[in-house]
Amino acid sequence: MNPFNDIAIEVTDITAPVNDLTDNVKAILFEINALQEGFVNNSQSGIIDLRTLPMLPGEYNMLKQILGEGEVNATLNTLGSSHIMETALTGVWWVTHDDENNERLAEFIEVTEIPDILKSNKNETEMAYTVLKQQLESY
Amino acid sequence: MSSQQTLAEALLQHGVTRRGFLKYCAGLASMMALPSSMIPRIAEALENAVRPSVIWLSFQECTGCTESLTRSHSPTLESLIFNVISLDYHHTLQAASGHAAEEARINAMEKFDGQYLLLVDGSIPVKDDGVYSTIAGMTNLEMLKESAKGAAAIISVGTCAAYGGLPKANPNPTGAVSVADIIKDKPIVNVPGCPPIPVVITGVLAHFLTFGRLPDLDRDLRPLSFFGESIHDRCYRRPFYDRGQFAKTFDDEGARKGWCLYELGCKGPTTHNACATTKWNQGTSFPIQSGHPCLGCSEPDFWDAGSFYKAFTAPPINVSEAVAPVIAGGAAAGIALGLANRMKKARAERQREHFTTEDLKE
Repeated sequence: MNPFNDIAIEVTDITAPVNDLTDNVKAILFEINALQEGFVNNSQSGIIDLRTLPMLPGEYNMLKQILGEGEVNATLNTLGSSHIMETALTGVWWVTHDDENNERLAEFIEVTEIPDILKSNKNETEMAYTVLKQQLESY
Repeated sequence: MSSQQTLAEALLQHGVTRRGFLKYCAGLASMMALPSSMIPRIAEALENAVRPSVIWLSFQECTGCTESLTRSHSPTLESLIFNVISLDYHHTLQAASGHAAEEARINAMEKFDGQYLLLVDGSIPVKDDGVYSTIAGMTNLEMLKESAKGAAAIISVGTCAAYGGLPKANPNPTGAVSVADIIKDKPIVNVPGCPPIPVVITGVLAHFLTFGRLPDLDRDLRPLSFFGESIHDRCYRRPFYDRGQFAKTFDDEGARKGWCLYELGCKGPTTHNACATTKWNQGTSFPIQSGHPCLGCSEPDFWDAGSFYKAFTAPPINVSEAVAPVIAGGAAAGIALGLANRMKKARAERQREHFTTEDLKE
């Protein structure tokens, strides 16, 4: 239970409309664009840690609105839930990690082919292979 | 859980999978304010990190620092980290009391000689041989010296341990000093704040766990990853400062529109801390977001540096006029004013200005 979620709060969007970007959002978009350049030209992945950037809820929503939602939306259920969503910009991922109380642990924008946390671990894959093989042998 | 158990093993014991472990490392990187590109290296280091023994001493303090940590998130990375350290002595948290408690401290000191981490909150009174604060018949001064001898490193938690804090405020009746004023031969990291941000405390612990050493520090012995930038530089109201838009009173139009609180005495330009980005209460807010100027609680001697609402941050010239022509060069103006404010703060500290409740009405 997160007691703060129980408090009724109306968040007023004090920022300007999307066609008039605030300085904080503009700075992040430039950073994303720089990471895209690195990925397109040198296959260099990059991450932005949103938790370390100064943003108001209004600006946060503005950034989400601008980046939009793409085709992939994955949920990871370990240590609470994590959401890995590709934005409308291909190769730009919005990754959120929450704990068991739905409190935000970390939030990243990743510019990459696919975030590492989605990839299957080699050791665990080998274990899975063995498990299924043993099951099949038991039938 | 064995003290020789690695952090990865401890997490696996808690049912954490490989993806969960990576998530944990991602959270740690964010918590330690390290570049996200470090996540794979953190994961690699933590595979073999052995959980350290921690002895926590509380001296002249209000327990706010412990409250800050234990009342934070639950269960989160902070509590997970607390699960994987061996907290062998802590007045407030341990079950043992009296002689048994002191025995636990002595045992941990002997067993982990040269390896344990010593956390201290509260200042140390040294006037009249330190009689103003004693534990189990020992003065704080004696206990600190004894416990510091075998410590691998010391973390001063809160402004009192880091710089003397409130007990040291003028006229400092107990002769309160900081840990670094007494211990000169051990690595010390200060985590100031009144109270300090919990994630900063655990961030330093996590850094020690991950890399086996303390993080890089600034001139006041604070971890650069959390205290490297001023509140002002990370403040979401900074664009208003750059435009010269300031609240003049707590209820004027500027205040309602969320403009910069610089002219209301905000100490953001001279204060280094992570409040503006890490925030408080599960990331809900921080003082400036709630409409109050920063008090500068993570800076040395902030209690004696003048009024919270007037004092040294009020610039000698009209800021709106000074800043307006340099919107494009806002950072440069901020640095210049920051330097001027530091000088003014130092002057105020020297002069020991006295303020009354009348100051609060202005």
